[in-house]
Formats: sequence, C-alpha cells, structure tokens
Amino acid sequence: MPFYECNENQFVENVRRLIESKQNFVVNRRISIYDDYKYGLATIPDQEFEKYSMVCDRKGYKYTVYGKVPFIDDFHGRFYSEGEALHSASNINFPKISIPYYKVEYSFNLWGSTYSHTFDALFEPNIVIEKKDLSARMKENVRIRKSSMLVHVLKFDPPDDKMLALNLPKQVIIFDVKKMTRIFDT
Amino acid sequence: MKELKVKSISVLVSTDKVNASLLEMGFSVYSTATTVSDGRFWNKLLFVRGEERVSVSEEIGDVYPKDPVITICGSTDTISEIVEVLD
Repeated sequence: MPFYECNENQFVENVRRLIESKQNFVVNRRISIYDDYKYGLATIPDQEFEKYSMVCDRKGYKYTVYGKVPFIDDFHGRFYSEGEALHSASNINFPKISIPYYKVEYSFNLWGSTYSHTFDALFEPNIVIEKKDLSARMKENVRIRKSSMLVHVLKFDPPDDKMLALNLPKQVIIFDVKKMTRIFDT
Repeated sequence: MKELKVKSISVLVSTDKVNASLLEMGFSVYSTATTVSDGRFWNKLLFVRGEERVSVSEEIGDVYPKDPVITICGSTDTISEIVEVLD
C-alpha cells in the first residue's frame, strides 16, 4: 500500500482537488505531545533562540548553550545555574533541556494509497521572574541563605489549538485518531 | 453565510507584503507558532476575519529563496483578492 508524504501546500491542494471532484473522503488527524529531546537550544535557529536569550546564551547555531542566570525549568521541574552548559556542541543529540512539541499528522486514503502531511508545533517559551522556595542544590548554586528568592522561571506554553489545524473548509470531515496502523500487502 | 473554499499557494513574495495586504483587507492576527516540517523551521501566522482563516508560513533563518506557504480557507472573492496581491 503506497504511502505518500506531502508538504502543506501539496496536501491542502490535494484536498481541494478531491472536494472539487466530489470525492467522498475522510481526513484523519493525530495530535500527540512529545518531549523526547528532539529539539534543543543549540539546534534551533537564531530567531527562535532569541526567545530564550533572557536565561541563556550561545555564540551561534550548534554552539554550546550556557545558562546566563540561575533559572528554573518549570515544565521539567529542574534548576540550572549560571554558566551551566545546557546543550553541549560536542553532545548535540543530547540537550539538557528538551523543548516540548505537538506532532500533528494529517492523512487521507484514496484508492488504496495514503497521503499524509506531518509537522511539529513547538511549545512557546514564557520566561517570568517568580518568588520560589529554594532546594538545597539551588541554595548551593546561588549562594544564599534565604529559603525563597526571586528567580527566573522558564515555562513552556502549548501552541493554540487553531495553530495545530490546517485551514480546511467545514465540509471536510476530520476524524481525530489515536494511532494509525499501516497494513502492507504481501 | 458564504461557502468557504480552500487554496494553498507557495510563492516568492515577501511575507511582509502578504501580511500588510491581509491586514488591509480586514484580517487580524489570531496567533503565531513555530512549526517544523521537512526538517525546516517555519514561523506560522494565523489571520482570521469572521469564519475565514489564512495562515502564512515563512521559513526561519537566512534561507534563499524564501517561498512562504499561504493557505486560505475563505470565500471565492477573498481567495481571488489574495491571489491578485500575490501576482
């Protein structure tokens, strides 16, 4: 059973052709959340890295990323100190901070073939300063005796639901699915 | 309510021009997101005007040529108007 990958432009145009030819079809959609270290701070483009520049720094794309200030990664519940290597250039596949994302998969079947379009939507960083209770490790790193202090907090906000959707007219039936199993002809 | 149709276009036109034209047409920015597909990072902007939606995705970084993908779900008139701007 052939499986064809399309980019957004191709997938939407294919759907448009099917609508215009009055074909009956259903579009399947699978949205799954991932936090698997696929995206790290050293391997995102400069424009995206700018959003993190309040708490970390790097010389350029694929260079080691260091903590600029002590901060808490609220999503993963971890603390990072100033100067700590957050994504080493020599260990590019294993970032310390993973950027979570939604994997969105659209597909439809036609005459025994599957046509799909897949994309990832990254969570947006949201850096705030909050008063937090300090753990022993945090106290050690910031050299402070107080039990709580103001600290930078890195939060990750999920993208809006509408950003996960392709712009398809209401007459297109979209089924949300959990898993897609491909059956191969022998 | 008008029937909405769909159209996706990939063109060599700057997104600034496209975005400005959409704002002039009465669309407003609903949200933005960073997406990744085909191993490339994209800045996706979603414009809305009533039931009509237009997304403009432009590749991030120093990439040449930039060919933003514009996906429209709108009336025939709206699609024609946007296509005219892109010509």
